[in-house]
Amino acid sequence: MRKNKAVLIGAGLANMAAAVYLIQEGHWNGNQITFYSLDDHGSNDGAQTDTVTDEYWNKNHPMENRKGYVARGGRMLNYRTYVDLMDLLSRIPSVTEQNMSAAEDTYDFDAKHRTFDKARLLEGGKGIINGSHLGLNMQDRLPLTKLIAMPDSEEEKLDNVTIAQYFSDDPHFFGTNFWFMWETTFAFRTKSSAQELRRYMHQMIYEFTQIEHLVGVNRTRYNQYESIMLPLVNYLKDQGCNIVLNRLVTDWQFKATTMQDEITVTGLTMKNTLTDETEQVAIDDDTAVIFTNGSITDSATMGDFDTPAPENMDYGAAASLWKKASQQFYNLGNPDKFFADRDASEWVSFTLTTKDHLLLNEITRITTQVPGNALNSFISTSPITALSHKDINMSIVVHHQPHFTTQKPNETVIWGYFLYPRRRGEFVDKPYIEMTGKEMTQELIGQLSKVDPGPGNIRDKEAQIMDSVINNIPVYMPYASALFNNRAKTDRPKVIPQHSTNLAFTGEFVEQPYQMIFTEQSAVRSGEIAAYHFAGIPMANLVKTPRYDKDLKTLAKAAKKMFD
Amino acid sequence: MNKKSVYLGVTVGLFAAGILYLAKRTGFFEDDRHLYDEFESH
Repeated sequence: MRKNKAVLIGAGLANMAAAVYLIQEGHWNGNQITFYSLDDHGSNDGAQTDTVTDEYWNKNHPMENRKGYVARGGRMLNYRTYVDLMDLLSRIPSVTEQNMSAAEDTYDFDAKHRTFDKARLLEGGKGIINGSHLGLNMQDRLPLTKLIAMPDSEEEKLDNVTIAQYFSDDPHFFGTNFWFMWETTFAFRTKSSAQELRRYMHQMIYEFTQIEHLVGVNRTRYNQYESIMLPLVNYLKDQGCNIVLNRLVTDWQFKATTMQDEITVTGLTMKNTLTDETEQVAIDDDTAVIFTNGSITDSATMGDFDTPAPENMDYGAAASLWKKASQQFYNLGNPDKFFADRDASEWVSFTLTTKDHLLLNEITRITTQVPGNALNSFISTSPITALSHKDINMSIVVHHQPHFTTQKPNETVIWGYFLYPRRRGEFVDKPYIEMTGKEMTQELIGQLSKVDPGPGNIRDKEAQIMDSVINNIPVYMPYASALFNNRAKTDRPKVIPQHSTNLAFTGEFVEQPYQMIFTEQSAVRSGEIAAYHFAGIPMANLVKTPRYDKDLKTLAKAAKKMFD
Repeated sequence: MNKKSVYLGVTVGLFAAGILYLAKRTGFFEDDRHLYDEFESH
C-alpha cells in the first residue's frame, strides 16, 4: 500500500537501506522519513571504546578501563552474493575517500588487498592444516548433496530440524575440515537451523571450491561502521531525514477491526533512554512503519582488560517490541524461537588493541600471512564436543591496519571470538565467558604457541606482548547467533505480512525468498522490499539475485571439490 | 546397425529423461520471480 511518510523503528543497516531506496527510487524527500532508534550503527559497529560504553546496551555495566577500540562483531563481504548491499553502497558517497562512492571505496581497497587465507585452520602439533582436503566421506556427501538438491519449494521439510538432527546418522560430519571451516566462516552451530544451512548451501555453493583460502571474501577499507554505516548516516542526514536517537520503542497501538487480523499501526509508545520520559507518537493513515524486529548485538555487554563481560539477561530490545506485536496477530512469527535459547545463540568476542606491532608480527610469522588476509581458527588437540569430536576453540581476524581511522600509527587492532563461550580455555582454566580481556589475550598467545613453527616460541615474548596491550575488550553477545536458531518457516514474519496496511519488517529476522541471513545482503534486501512496497515500485525492479545453485559450472566444481 | 541406432536412441532418451527428472526434482527450472508478488503494493 502506497504511503507518503515513513517512521522507521531501528537505525541499523536494513532501515537505512529502506530510507535510501525511498529517496532514490521512490523520489521521496528526506523530511518524509523519521527514525526512532537507540543508536545509529546497529550491529555494524566499531568505535573507540569510550564512545560506546554509555550506550543503552551497556549502560547498566559501567567500565573502568575505556581505552582502545571495540567492534562487537564483524562480517566478511562477498560481492558475488551481496548484490543488494553493493547496489546500496554505490548510491552513497564514501566518508573517507574523496570522489568515491562507498562501493567504489570498498572495491578499490579490496582490489589492492585481495583475501587469500593461508592458515584458515591451525592445530597444535600439526601447525597449518591443509583445508583443501575437506575430509568428507560418502556418508557425509549424501546428506550434503540432498541439502543442495532440495528445491526452495520443499524447504518446509526442514521446519524445526537442527543441523545436529539432520546429520544425526552421520556424526563423522562434525569432525571434518569442511564443518570446521563452514561453522566458523559463517557462525553456524550444531543447534542451528538445517533450513538455514540449506539456504547457505544454495547461495554460497561456490564457496565449496575456495573456502580454505576465502578467495571470494571481500572486506571494507575500515571497520563496518566507518565504511558502511557512517556513509549512510551522513547521506540520510544530508537528505533531511530526521534521525531521533536514544529512543526505545516499547509498545504499539493497532487499529481495532472486526476480524482482528488487519495490521494497521496507529501509534507508538517509546522511552527516551536519556531522560526516562515516556513519549507517544501518533501514526496517521499516510504513514508506513518499517520495523527492524531483532538485533544480534542487543543486550551485549562489555568487560575490559581486568574485568569479564557480565552476563546480561535482558530480552533483546527490538525483539521485545516484536513479541508485543506477535502477541496481537497470528502471522508475525515467534520471537522466542530466536531470543529465548541463549545456549544456541550466545557468543563472546574480544577486540584487542596494542600500542605496537609485536603481536601482529608474531601472528604473521606463525600464520605466514600479512594482516588483512585471514580468518584463523584454532582446532582443539583433544575432543571437546558432546559427540567426542575435536572442534574450534577460538577464531581471530587480524585486520589490515589501521582498522579505525583514528588509530595512532603503530597501534593495532585484532578481533576474535569464541563460538561456544561456556567451553573452558586450554591455557586459562575457566570458561571463556568468565575470562577478562587479559585472560583472553593469554589464551590467544597459548593457542598461537601450540602452532608456532619456531625457531623459538611466541610464549618467549609473552611478557613483552602483554606489556604492549592497551586494552582487550571482551563482549558478551547473548543473541549473536540467534538468527541461525532452529526455526520453522512461519517463525519469522514476512517483510510485508498478510493483512498489513502500513507495517513492514526488516533485518535478519524476517522471511523473504531465498535470502540467507547474517549477511548485510539480506538485511539490505528486506529494506529495499519494504521501500518498494510503500513507494509503489514494482518488485521486478529489485536488484537481480544471482542463482549460483542453478549454474552448472558452479555445481560441477562443488561436486568435484566434495570428493577431494 | 539399425538395432544399434535404436539402442543408442533409447539410451540417450532415457539419459535425457533422467536429467530432466532430476532437474525438475531439484527445482532447477523453478521460476522464483513470482515469489515477490505478495510484496507488491496494491
